[in-house]
Amino acid sequence: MKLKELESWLSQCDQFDKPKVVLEQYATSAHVAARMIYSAQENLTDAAVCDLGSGCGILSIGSILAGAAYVCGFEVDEDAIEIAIGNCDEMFDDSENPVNFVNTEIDIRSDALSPALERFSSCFDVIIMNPPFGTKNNAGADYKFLKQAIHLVRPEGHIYSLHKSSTREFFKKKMALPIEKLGVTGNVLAQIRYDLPKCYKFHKEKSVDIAVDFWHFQKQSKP
Amino acid sequence: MKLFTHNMLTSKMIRNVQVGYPLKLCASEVKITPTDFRPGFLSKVIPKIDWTVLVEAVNSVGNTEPLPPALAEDYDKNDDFLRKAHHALFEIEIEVITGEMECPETGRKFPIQNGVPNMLVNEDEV
Repeated sequence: MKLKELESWLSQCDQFDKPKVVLEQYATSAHVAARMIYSAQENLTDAAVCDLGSGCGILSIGSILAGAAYVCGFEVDEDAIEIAIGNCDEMFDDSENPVNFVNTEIDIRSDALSPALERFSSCFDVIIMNPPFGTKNNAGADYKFLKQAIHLVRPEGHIYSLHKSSTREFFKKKMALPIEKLGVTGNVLAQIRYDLPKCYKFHKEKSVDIAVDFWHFQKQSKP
Repeated sequence: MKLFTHNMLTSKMIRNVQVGYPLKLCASEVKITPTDFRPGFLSKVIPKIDWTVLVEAVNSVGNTEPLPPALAEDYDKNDDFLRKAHHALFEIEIEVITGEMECPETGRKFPIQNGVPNMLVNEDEV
């Protein structure tokens, strides 16, 4: 699908009514989502895809548009899932392939895969996600989401993810370690100017631009 | 919720639960949603699932043709088998207004609402 076409479809998705600070819910705009899907497209076709922290489902829906065979969105917030299901209902009719959403916690207290998802280990061809940026009280959550994603994706599978550009050096250092430490190689496909509208009380400015990296990681086979 | 998703979920996050699998499926209402048959994709997916659990899940929802009880040895070349597997895994939708899955060890119930399983547990359960 062409980029413009993707963006025009995805721009019909509703976003969070009341974003939750504790979950760092920042909407993935149609502009950003379309570019992520477009870049991932060749790997999404006929693939099993996981949207980790699926929010309002825009990346899940984009994955279906790109021809994914199975898409599962894991999300802790049931209000977000409700919006996501509404978005799917708008976009697809009953005979099409809708997304499976599972209301579950992504347990990032340990480095191991969340126990509820254990059987999904190495199950997915592609993980596509816009994880929490790991600011505020969530320090490190972005990196821990990546670790969960690495568990969930099969060897040689792909992870597409957004991380604040300020963490780029940290990620590069992690990837410079022997490959068995983290298990992925990765590179920044693009730097995105992420426009965060004032959606939380603690935001003083009307909107803030932050620099965000669009990463592509690939899981390595066990040596 | 597709039966592939059911085939993968566990209740292992509950404290003292050893395996938490398979979750007992209690749902009488299903919808059949035709989806594209992709033999290559299915051949990759079938080794990841527990066939016996899938057979039981199909039987429990009823209203649909039973699956072969055992995985065919030549499943990747067996078109008829792959079509049946495709139907069971990706076309049967648990679309109930209310249904549930049950932890085999504790009996803890996980509600399914509008097709979305709720796997959230309380702090005191983990």
